[in-house]
Amino acid sequence: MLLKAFVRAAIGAAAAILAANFIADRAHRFDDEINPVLGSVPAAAKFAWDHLEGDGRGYWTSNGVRRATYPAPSEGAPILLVGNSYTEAMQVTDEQHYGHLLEQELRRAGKSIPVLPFGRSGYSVADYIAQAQNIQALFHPKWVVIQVDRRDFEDRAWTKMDSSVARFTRSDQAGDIKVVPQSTPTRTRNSLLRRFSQRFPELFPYHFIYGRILEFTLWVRNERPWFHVLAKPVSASSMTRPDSSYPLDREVALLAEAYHHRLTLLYLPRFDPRNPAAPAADETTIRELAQKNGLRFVSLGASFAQIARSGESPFGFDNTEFNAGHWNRYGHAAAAQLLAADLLNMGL
Amino acid sequence: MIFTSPRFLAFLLVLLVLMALVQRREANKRLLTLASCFFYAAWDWRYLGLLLAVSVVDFVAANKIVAARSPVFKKRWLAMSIVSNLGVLGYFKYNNFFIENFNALTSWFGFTIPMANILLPAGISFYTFKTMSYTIDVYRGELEVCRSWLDYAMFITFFPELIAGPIVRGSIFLPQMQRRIGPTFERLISGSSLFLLGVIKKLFIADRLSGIADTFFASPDLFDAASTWCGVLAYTLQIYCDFAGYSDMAIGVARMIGYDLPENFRMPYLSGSITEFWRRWHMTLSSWLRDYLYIPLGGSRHGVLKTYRNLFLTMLLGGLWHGASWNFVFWGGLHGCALAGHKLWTRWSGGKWSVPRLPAWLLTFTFVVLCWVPFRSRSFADTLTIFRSLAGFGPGHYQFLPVWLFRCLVLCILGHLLGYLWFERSADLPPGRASTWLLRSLGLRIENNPVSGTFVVPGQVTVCGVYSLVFILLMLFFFAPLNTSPFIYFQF
Repeated sequence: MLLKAFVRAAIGAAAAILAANFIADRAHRFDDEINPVLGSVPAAAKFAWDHLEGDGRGYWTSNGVRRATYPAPSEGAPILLVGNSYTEAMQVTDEQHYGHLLEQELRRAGKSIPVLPFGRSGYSVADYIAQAQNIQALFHPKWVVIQVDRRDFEDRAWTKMDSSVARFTRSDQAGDIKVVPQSTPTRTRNSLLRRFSQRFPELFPYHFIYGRILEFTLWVRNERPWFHVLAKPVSASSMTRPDSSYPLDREVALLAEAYHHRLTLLYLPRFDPRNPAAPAADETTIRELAQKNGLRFVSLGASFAQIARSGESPFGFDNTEFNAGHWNRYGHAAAAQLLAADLLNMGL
Repeated sequence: MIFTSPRFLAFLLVLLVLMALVQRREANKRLLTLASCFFYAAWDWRYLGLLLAVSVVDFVAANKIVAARSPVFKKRWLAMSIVSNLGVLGYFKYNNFFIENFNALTSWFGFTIPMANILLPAGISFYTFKTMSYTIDVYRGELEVCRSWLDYAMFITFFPELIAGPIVRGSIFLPQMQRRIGPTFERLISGSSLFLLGVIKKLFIADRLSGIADTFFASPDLFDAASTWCGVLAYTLQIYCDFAGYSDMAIGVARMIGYDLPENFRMPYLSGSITEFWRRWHMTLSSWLRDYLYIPLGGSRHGVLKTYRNLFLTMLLGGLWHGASWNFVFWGGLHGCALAGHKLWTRWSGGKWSVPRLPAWLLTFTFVVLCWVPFRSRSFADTLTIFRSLAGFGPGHYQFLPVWLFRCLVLCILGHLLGYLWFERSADLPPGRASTWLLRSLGLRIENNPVSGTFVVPGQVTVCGVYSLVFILLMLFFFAPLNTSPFIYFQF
C-alpha cells in the first residue's frame, strides 16, 4: 500500500517537474557564454526568447551581436549600437529591434551599411568606457551609437554590488574619476546539471532556475527586519550614491575620449503621458554635455508626442505594466527613425 | 510579517514544532498568546500595548456585566466597553477624517485645526469589532463570560486573524479553547491545503493584477474606455483574490494550529442578487453588521420604510468602517441603496416574477464592479473621471489591454466553475459526474466543517493529485511575483 502510494507520488512528481520545466523553458530562455575579449555575452548561434516581459525572440550570431548573420568585410564598416538591456532587447523580436529597423531605414535611403547591435544587460557608462578599446578593435565600426539614460551615468555606473560589470570610482571627493573594469571573465562551472541542460534545454532550463534562485535569495535578504519600526530607515540615495553629486561632465568627457568623439548618444528619457512633448530636465543636461564634448545627441523624447497621439507609450508591454520597464516596439521604431535621420543628416 | 513572506513561514514552522512538543493545553495557549504578541509586535511593537489594553478593558467590562445585579449597571458597563472601543477606533482611524471635514467647514471663517500625526494601528478595525461583539454577547446572555484574562488575551490577539479578519466572535472561538489543541496530521494536511489555495489566490492573481489596477487608478484620466474597463475589472478580481486569499490563509494557519475560523467568502461573484452577494462577501463582517447594527436599529420590525432606512444606514456605516474617506461612505451608500432596492423589488414582485439567473448575475456583477470604483479611487473627482471613461466620455486616449487580466480571469472562472460544481450544485457528489471523477482523480475529498464551511482537502495519494500539487508549487517558484504587495484589507 505504502509502496503503491510512493510509486504514484514519484510518477506524479516527475511528470509535474517535466511539464513545469517545459513551460518555464517556453516562457524564457537565455544562454550566455564567456567571450575571451568581451566577457559574458549572449551565447553565439543561438536563439533566446522572453515571454515574461514583452514577447521577444532573438538570434545572436557571435561576439554578443544580435543579428541574423555576421556581416562580411566586403559589406563595409558597420554602425555599432552599444547599450544595455534596452539594446539587448529580449522583449522584442529581431524584426522589431531598432538595429534591424535602422538598417532598413538606411537601406531605404540608399545607404547599405550593416548595423550591429551589441547590448549587454547591466552595462552602464562605466562599461562602455571600459569596453571601448575591445569593442572598437573587434568590430571596427564606422560609427558608434551608445544608448543611455540618466541612471546609466549615475547609480548604475557607480554601484559596487556586481563585479561582472565595470564601475566608476575616485580616490576622494575632489579626485578625478576612473573606471574599475569588470572582473576577469572566468568560465562558469560546467556542472552536471548545466551539461544536462545544454543537451536537453526543454527538460531543464538551467539559466531560468538559476536566475530564479538568485531572485529568491535577494527576496529573502531584502525582507524587512523583524521589528522594522526599530530599524533605522535607509534612504535610497545612501544605498546608491557614492558621492554627493555625480561628476556627469567628466563621465561624458571620458566617454567621448574613449570613442575618439565618433559617437552618437541615443538618450532614453522617461515618458510622461500627460506632457509627452516636454523635454525632461535631465535630458537637457546630458545634451549640453554631449555638445560640449563634440558628440552627437539623439533623444527618443523627440518622438514622444507622435507616439502619444497614437495612444501608446514607448515603454511597457501588455503583459507587464503601462509605461514601465523596457521599451516596446513603438520605442524601437521611433529610435530607428530618429537615428537614421541623424546619421543621414551627418552624411555618413 | 505577511503570510507569504519567508519570515512568516519560518515563524509558523517554529510555532508548530513547539506546540507539538509542548502538548499540554494550558501551556499551548500561553505559547500561542506569546507568539501572537510577537507577530503583532513585528508589525508595530508600539501598538501592542494598545491591543492588550483593549483586551483588559473588555475583559473587565464583561466580568462586571455578569457580576452586576442591576440592569442599569449592566448597561453602564456595556456602554463603557462600547464607548472605549469606538473611542479608540475613532481616535486612531477617524481623527484626521473629522479634522479634515471640520476644517473644510470652518476654513471659510479662517479657523482650522492642525492634522494629527497618528499612525493607524494594524488590525484595529478588526479587533475592536471582535471585542465589542464579545461584551455585547455577554450582556445579552448569549455567551458565557471568560474568567481568565490570559484566555481572553489569546482570543483577542490570535494572530491568524488579528490583522485582517475573519472577524471571529467569542461564541465561536472561546469554546474551542476548552478542547485539546495543537497540530495533528489531518489538521496540518487540510490547513496547509487551504493555505496553498490562499497563496495561489494572492500570488498568482492578486499580486499580478495589483500593478495593473494601480496603474489605472493612479492616472484615471489617461486611458480610453476599454482600458478603463480592464482596470476596474482588474481591481475587482484583485480585491477578491487578495482578501479571500488572506482569509483562506488565515483559516488554514488556524486549522494547522488547532482552531477553526469562520468562513469569510463563498464565491461572491456568482451571486444572483446584491442580498446574496452580502451573504457571500466578507461574511463575518456582514453578519456582524446584521447582528450588532441592523437588528439593534430595528431591523425589519418597524415597517417597510424603516427597514430600508436601517439597511441604508447599516451599509453606510459598513462603508465608513472600511476607511476614513467619503469614498467608502459613498460605496457603502450605493450598496445600501441596492440592498433596499432589492428588498423593495422582492416585496413588490411578491416572488411572482423572478429574473432568470444569468441576467440577474450579470446585473449584480456589473453593479459590484462599478461600486469598486469609488472604493478604490483616491478622490471623488477620480471616481467621476473613471465613470466618465467607462461610459466612453473620458478625457484619456491611451490604450492598455493587459494580457494578465485575461489570464487571471480564466483562472478565476475555472476556480469558480470547480467551486460551483463541487460545493454548490451537488453537495453529496453523485458518482458518474465529471466533477466527481475530477475530484477523485485529484485525490481530494470534500470536508464539511461546521465553522469553516465546505472545502476540499487531500484524501489519498493519486498520480494526478501529486502531479497537480508539484506542478502548482513549481509554477509558484517559476512565475510568482516576488515583490509581494501587502494585503489590501491591512489598511482597514
